[in-house]
Amino acid sequence: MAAPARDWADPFLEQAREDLRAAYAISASKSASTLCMLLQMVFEKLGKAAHSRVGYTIARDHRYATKLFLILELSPAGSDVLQIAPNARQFLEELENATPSVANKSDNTSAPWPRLEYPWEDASGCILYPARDLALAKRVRNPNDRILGDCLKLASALEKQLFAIIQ
Amino acid sequence: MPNGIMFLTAKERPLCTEERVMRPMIDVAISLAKAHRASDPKTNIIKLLPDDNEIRLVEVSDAAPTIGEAIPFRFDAYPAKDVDYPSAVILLSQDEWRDVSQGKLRLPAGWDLQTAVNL
Repeated sequence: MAAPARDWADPFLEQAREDLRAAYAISASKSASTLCMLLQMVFEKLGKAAHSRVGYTIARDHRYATKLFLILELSPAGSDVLQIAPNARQFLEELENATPSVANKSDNTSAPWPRLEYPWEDASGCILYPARDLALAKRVRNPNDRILGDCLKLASALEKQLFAIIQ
Repeated sequence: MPNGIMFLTAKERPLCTEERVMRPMIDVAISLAKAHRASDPKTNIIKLLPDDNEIRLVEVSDAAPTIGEAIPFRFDAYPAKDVDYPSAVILLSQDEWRDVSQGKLRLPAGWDLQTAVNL
């Protein structure tokens, strides 16, 4: 007999915390594309924790950051958190679109979506790879851009307050 | 007659001959603060804390959620973006800044607000 959906909530939250600690730890490294991957994983797991908590079964899908934001919008406290972190939300939605399974579903062959984690081919047949070519990773590595801090801070707020926000 | 500069040792030659001139840490910190304010106009306080090895900034923003902790995130030096030093930023909400000011929330060891400079 499968475990009830709600039983998955705490384990997903704990795993998101683990990924978040790793993200903080490698923030000073040059591995910006790996850091992007970790950020995506943190928010995917926070999204899965939130969904389990409200009783939904978790699907095999990476698009849980977007779903997390939709759940947060349903409560005043969640809306407050999102309102104060609009930069992070937009960035994280772009990261989600770069997960290979999501990007592979893009039907725009004239401008294929960039990928997290794996190389991809652009419209001219050139092979690109995240460590060198992912624009989102370039932002994360750039000390002039505070998007990394905005995302880590939002993740830290949610790992502490998520279940209080969504009840 | 030999040109005088040819007889300077590597140490005596100005840094700007072939290598890029490294800007002083304070100038880089000011540029970082300006860039961060541009990306988050709700940043209302930025303080530079003294350190010999990295640029340490405490930034207070109305756009930062409260987590009750002061955790730095770090960047390696990025000379291609004119940032020649490693940097570390602690992003605080207004509530967290108030707690830091009142001594209720501690910054990490070695982060000294007493000698901080406003940017």
